[in-house]
Amino acid sequence: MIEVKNVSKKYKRKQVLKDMSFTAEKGQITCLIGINGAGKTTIMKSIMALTPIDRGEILIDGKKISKDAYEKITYIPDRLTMSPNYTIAQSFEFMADFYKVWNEQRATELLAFFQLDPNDKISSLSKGNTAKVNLLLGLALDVDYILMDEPFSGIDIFSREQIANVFTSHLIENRGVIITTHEINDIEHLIDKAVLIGDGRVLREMNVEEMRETEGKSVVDVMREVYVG
Amino acid sequence: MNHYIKLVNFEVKRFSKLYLSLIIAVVAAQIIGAIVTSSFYVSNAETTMVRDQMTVSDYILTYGAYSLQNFLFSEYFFLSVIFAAALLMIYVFFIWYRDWLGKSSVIYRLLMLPTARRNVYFAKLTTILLFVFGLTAMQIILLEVVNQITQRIVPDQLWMDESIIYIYSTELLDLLYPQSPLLFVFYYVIGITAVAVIFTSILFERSYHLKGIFLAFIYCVISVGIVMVPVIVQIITNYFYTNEIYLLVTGFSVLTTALAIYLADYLLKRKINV
Repeated sequence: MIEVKNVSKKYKRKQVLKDMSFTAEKGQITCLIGINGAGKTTIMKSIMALTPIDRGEILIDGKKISKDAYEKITYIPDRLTMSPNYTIAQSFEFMADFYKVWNEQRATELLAFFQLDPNDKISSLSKGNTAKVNLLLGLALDVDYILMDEPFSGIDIFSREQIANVFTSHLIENRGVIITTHEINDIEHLIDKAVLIGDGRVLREMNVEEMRETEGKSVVDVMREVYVG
Repeated sequence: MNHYIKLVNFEVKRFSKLYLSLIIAVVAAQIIGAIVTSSFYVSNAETTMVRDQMTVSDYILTYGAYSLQNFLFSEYFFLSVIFAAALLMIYVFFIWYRDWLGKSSVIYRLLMLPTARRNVYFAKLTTILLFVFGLTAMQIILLEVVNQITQRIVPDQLWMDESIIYIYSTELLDLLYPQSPLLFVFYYVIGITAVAVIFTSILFERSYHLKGIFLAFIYCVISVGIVMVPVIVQIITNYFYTNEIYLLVTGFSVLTTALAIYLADYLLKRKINV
């Protein structure tokens, strides 16, 4: 389980995260929802120790993040993290070189799934294909937790469909996923838990299925209540 | 250790094309320079000897024979060395900033590798050192090539052979290849310290942004201060021999490098911001 406990962070003069707390369980898809600037990316980076926090604590399976934890959790940011001069095949070699949990078979499977050419240079890829490579590099790691930041942002409808299909496949099964988005429609039917964020705080944390069953409300209904009032 | 070597390999590969271009440029500039300076000398000597009805001995007595020194004091040699040094100096900054500000944010990947983050720092530092040593080693071979080319252009009567020790005591070469082991260690330790301090300053800036520039400045001043302690003591007391000063400054530089590594490790672990 990923536990975010009372995390606060100030950036310049702005309080980006204010005493934020939530959990994300293994085997579930947790969606962080909020408008741009709500603190979604910051909390993802904080979990991965890519930005420092001022107060609070973040635990992954009860432990603070360490170098070994990067074989257990991965982050797929909304930008490419591989040298643009590499081909897709070279980026596979890089990952295999550094990660014990790199799953070459799964990487090849994903390559076919996304219809990508391993000889293509990363810098020559379209935005949609770049997003797919990014996703591929994360998903081909046999990790317990995957953090995805805006995987649908700025890409064409067909690529979105392909990426959305990943969530219903065995690629995600039994893993804990935290995904951020401000376009909930693409994945509303896929998520287990929604964490509504606004102004650096958790405004609402809910089990989507439970909410639907007990109160008959969809995520969008609750978002309307929380954000519109 | 394994990850560190792989990271060095990664960094070296990333700069290899530009580095190879730099080597080609330096080699071309110096070979062209050797041909131009020696040909100019020979043609000038021939014209002068005919015009002034001088013998070769008269000419050498008046204008001097041609030696490798003529090339070493030419702009072809000087500018090519300065150009290579300047490019490497720029790369000291570029090696970090390209990971943040390039087309892709490679720094995300580097910081999420299952290895101690200080390995990223060490790998970049090692890469810079490898490039520096590579260039200085290449320059030794290149000087011999230049020597051979020049000897073929300049007639024997106008050529003056010089000892290696004499050639390498020329200003710029003496800086690149100090003949005293103490000075050699001194220059290269100072160089390593300078790169380590610049790297840590960059990490201050990357961790604290605008405030980081101020912190980096203060940190640089303190680092220079530590390295200069023996020199300041010497100015006040005039107590040490010159060689002792070199030794002490080398020792204080090692301390400064250790501090730079400690701070970089702390910043990469606790304060870095991507």
